[in-house]
Amino acid sequence: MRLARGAPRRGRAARRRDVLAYVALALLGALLAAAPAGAARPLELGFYDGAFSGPAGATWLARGAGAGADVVRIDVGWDAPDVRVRPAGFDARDPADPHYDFAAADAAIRAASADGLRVIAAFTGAPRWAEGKGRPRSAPQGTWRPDPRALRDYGVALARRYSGSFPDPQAPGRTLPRVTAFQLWNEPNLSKYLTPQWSGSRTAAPAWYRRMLNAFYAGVKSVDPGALVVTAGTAPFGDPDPGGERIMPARFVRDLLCLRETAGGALRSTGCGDPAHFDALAHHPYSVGAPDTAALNDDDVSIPDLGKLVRLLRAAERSGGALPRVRHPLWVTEVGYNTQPPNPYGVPVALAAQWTARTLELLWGEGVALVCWNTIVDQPPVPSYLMTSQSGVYYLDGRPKPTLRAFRFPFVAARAGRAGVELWGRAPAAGRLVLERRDGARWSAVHALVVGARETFLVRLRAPGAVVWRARVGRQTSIAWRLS
Amino acid sequence: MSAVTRPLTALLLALLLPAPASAARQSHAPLAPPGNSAVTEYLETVPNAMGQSPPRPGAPASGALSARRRAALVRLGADGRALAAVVDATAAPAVPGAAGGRGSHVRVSPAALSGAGVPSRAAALLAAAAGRDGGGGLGPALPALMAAGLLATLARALRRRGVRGT
Repeated sequence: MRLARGAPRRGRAARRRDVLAYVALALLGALLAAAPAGAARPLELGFYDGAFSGPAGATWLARGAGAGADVVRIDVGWDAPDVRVRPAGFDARDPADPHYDFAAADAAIRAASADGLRVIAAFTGAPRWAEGKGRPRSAPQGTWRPDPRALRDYGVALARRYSGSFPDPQAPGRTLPRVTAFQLWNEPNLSKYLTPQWSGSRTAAPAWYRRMLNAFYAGVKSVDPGALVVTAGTAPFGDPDPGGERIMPARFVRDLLCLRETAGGALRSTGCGDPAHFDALAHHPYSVGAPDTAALNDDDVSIPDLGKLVRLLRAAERSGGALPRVRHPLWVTEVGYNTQPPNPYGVPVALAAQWTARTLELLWGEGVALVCWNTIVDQPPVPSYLMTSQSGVYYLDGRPKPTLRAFRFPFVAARAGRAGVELWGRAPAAGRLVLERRDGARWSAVHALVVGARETFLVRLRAPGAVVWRARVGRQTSIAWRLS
Repeated sequence: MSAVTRPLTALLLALLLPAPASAARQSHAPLAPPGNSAVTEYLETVPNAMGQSPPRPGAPASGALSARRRAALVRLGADGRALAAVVDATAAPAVPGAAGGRGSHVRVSPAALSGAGVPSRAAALLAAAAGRDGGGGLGPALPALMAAGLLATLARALRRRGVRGT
């Protein structure tokens, strides 16, 4: 009897489950159908270039805006007296103190803001009075144990000057623009920028940098809690052995975030007493070769390896090693390729255009929220090509390179399954975006969608036989992409 | 596995396994991004079993710079030495019969830079075990030992087959 009564009851329950499953499926289908076709997670783009703070800064900032940049990383320096003893009467927290010289930084930030560009204000190198005692001759000036208290004071000064309410000394009655992000130092896993890197076989730079970062963070936030503090972008490669000039970036970040890796590969907190405070983690994933080339050492981080840093970041967020307890974005504040021409050792410029687009796609796919291209314009080859950058999207004489088109309208096509294709890009302007395939000498529209300006898109299509693709918005076309 | 071949195999494994680790400790070969602009910053230093050999086949370690220029760079200290290493790492192989020699044909091959100079795991294992980097191993004796082990195993297998067949 129980069985006989129970059977129909189970049948009703099963039917109810079936109905619920159908409803869930229908809802899912409706959601998918309602999603904007092709719209994808955003990617902010920008440039880093020392030229922004130079005499032609305004010109290059305007060209940066024209190239589709949202943001620029500007080197504002730490332009205080470079003397052994801090000058008497110097109030390092006061951005109006006459010992400071912000003229070049003001000009660049003013011009960037006029072009609608947001600014990441970055600096590296300490004046001598703000270094630790006993700098050895082997340590470059400005790198030796920068004083955290001095950095806190400079953080206060920077945040005050670029709070949006500081009077512009060049324009009475007006204020200097607000800077929304401050980046402390450059590539602190290299002795070129921060010393000492090692203490015997143990790392020294990550813990010191954490002290610097926390002090600077406190200084900036005491003035403007809404301003972002960004970690220094780490260089992609370190030395395999302890005691060298460099620390591998994943090792540096692991130590910075008070983590250790167990023999089994798990991440554990080291329980350091001063966890790192920051709003975004930055890295410089230069690649040896094509953008898909992964680093060979476990703790080196090239373009396809950013997952190593994301893993550390998320573990530290859980363990309290990355504060505040929010999800921190990952920024790439430098990446680029030296091109040939003009650099005889560089990547042929047409190939570099493809690599540019592919780099942006890869970084976007790894969850990077912002990429600054290094640089907008090639540097003069003085003293040599090897010692300077030719990774600009403009040649030194001002002519655009093919990489400019790839930066302004990045587009990548990749095979997806047997007859499918996946098309990723970032639209340079709002409007109707058309995805086209090449048939012989002419282009044929295959798919269209409406996009916003600088909106990323990801579209999967069935298109057997199509080999060469491009995207078009109005009269602007991306570089063509040939499926391999 | 027979009583004869088992210890031989164990010996071979014991000799082979630590070899790459010791090679990694003793030799690092640099790789540079194409047109590397920062010299020391962005060199990828990769432990491998080929010692300080250049990362691309055909690029002689000391041929890209004249002795005089190399000496001048070395006198500049660490940066100069690093620059010399980069020049070595990015020098094009000599093109036989090419007018103008190496200087007019310098061109970084990204594919070559990105991987061709890095030996495969098997090659690294063999090279390290054979001691080509001078960092340990039995030298040419090891491949001979391995060949002898293989021959002994084959001979034993053939003899067994012969015994079963009779």
